[in-house]
Amino acid sequence: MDLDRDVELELVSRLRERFPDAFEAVHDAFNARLFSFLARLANSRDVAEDLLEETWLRLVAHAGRLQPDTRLGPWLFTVARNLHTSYRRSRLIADSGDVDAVGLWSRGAPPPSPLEAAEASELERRVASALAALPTIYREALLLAMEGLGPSEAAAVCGISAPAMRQRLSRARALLDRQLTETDLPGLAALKEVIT
Amino acid sequence: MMAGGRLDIRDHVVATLPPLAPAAARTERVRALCRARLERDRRRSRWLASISRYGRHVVAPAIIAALFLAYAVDLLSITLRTFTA
Repeated sequence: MDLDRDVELELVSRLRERFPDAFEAVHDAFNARLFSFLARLANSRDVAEDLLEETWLRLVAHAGRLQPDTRLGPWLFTVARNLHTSYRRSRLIADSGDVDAVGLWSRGAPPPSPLEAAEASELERRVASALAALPTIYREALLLAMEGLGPSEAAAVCGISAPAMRQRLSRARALLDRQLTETDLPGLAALKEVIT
Repeated sequence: MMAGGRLDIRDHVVATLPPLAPAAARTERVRALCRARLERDRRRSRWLASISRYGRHVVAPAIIAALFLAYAVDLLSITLRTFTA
């Protein structure tokens, strides 16, 4: 994770005493990453924003009870992931991505030239589509790896063993590779058929 | 992990997906809400701590002193009764 361990321990110590400035620092460090993780996991910006808000409220509610050696990244991603799992259970969402309805594309600054923009946009769209079409357990494994969590940390977030997480990640990469290869030919609908 | 260089390339492709940014207005609203809750909880915990400190340093010694005084008075009255009888 990005936070230096000493800085992280200091932040945890101050969070336990409920200092708002410590919360601000943690929020700055993790807010965008948690949102990216949740948005791509849920395939919805609106759902991601709701779950993100709940994640931060959980941190505030549990701040005084954090263990002194808490790893903030895995703790936050665990809460976010569990909230998403609860959300999926409550809404009985099908385990497939409807990419057309997602609307996840970045609102950031465009690439320098129109050609580069078109190429980047097309590439991003293909990768995002392939990722969104993965089953949730594989998607979350890839997303956690993208966020810099190691296999043991990602395994703890998902509540499985590290070897199982490595296997899941390997399978996710293989599935994603198949999808990216297939997107060149028949399109997304056929990709979903390949996955399911 | 799977062997071969393609994994690295694929990871790189996935990792190049642009970060998604939450709506700024809602981010600020959540941040302010959390700040307010933390400050409220902090005030409450300080208040509870001050009550606890008061209890430890004032109430508990006062109770012990009162019990000791009652014991001493009772002991003295028993002693006086014994010697005056």
